[in-house]
Amino acid sequence: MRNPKLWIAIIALVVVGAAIKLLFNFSVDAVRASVAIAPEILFNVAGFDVTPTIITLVIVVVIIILLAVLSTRNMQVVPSGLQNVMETAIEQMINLFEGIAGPKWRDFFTIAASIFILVIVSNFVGLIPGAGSIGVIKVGEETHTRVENGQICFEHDGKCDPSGIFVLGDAPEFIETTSLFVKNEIARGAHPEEHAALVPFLRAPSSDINLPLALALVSVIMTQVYGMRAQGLKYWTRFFSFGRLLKGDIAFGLIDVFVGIVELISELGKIIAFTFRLFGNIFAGEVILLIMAFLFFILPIPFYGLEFFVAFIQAFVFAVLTVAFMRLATAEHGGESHEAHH
Amino acid sequence: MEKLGINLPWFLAQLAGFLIVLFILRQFAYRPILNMLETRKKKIQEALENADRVRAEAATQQQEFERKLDEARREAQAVAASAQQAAEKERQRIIAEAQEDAEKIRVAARGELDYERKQMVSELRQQVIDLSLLGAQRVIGGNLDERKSRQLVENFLNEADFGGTTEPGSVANRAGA
Repeated sequence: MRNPKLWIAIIALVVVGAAIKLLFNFSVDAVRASVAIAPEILFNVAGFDVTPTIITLVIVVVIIILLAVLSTRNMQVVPSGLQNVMETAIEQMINLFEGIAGPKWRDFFTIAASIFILVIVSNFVGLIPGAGSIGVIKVGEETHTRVENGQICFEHDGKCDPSGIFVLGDAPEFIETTSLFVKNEIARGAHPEEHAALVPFLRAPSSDINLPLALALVSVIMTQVYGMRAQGLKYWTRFFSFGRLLKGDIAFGLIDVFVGIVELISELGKIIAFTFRLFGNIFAGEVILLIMAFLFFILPIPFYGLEFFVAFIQAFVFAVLTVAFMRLATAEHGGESHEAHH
Repeated sequence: MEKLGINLPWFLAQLAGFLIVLFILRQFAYRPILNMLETRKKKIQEALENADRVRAEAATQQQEFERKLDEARREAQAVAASAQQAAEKERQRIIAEAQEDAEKIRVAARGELDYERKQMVSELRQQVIDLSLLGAQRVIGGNLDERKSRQLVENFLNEADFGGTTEPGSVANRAGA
């Protein structure tokens, strides 16, 4: 009883859990693991399909807004509390970016730091226990399930295999029930594809490829903008250098054109690399945690630590590479530039 | 694209999320915090400069104090030394005075003693003369010329250097002898 707050929190959690159980009568039986690359659709608002990743992103944005506003609401010269935390984080980023970009860090700071903060917060929120495992079970044609005798059952070798999931009510196309995802349905001998899918309420936003893609596009496009701002139209000679070819120097001119094409491809490659580096790491992390939970209940714990590390590293890498590419783009280059990928 | 889940509304939603974060952070975090870091840097610099100045001032003051203290110490020493000298002089003076007084007293005492001795010697002389005259009258059995005899004895005594003019020591010596 050294920390009464902890005990109050635990008791509150138990009470809330019991209340939810009584209210919704959710099932703790498992359906199948939902390993879907495309985010599942939770519900539809005015023609817009809301996915768990978008809900999580909204939560993340709210958290970041609260952090930003609360930490700077009452700025003190001698910092304390949240202001101190935020200042330390920003100072660390300044040091990091200054180490990469030198005195130019101020130009790149807003974008790189925002990418870092958004990615790290969304990765961490995606790691909150329950994200990915608490949700609704969607049953429909595409999941090879139907309703028989008030129960969801899975068509399996022509027979109907009830999973023991409690059904809240009759809906024509979707029977929904809340479920905590704990048991392995594969052990029952059913193919995972044949089962109803659990659609979680929360999922790491980075595991929806749209967020990494948006960030990658912002990063690469702003790199071109900064490059042009620093060097003017001369920046584009990096990709389209016909100068020597037009002067009649055929051999070196062709090499220049070829180098330009390679540069262009590598620039496009950056978008793909940025996107899939973040998406792949976070998505794979979710899948690993899921699979480990199926293998043995205590097994996800070390991987959980690993995923925390990955969550940080991916945010770090995204921001650092953004700054590095921006620095390269703004630096004077004599036709050749060396870039490191990955 | 379909399989990956890339679709325009979702993409725009995520992009909007990022842009909101970017704007909010720039407005509420980066600007105030960068300004704060700058002002703090300035303040710390100022404080350090102030501290340096104060330290330098303190050092000069310390030197001043030490100098003054030294001066005071030296003055005190000088005062003490002069006081000692004066005291020594006074002591010498008092001793000399005392010795002088003692000498005076001794001289006075000796003068008185001399006078008394001379008195005694002259008295003794008179008695010796009287006695010797008396003795001589008895022996002769007649009268002697009083004046002539007295003159004779006196002469004898003077010849024997047994007079009031002689040194007291020699008189005592001879008397003793």
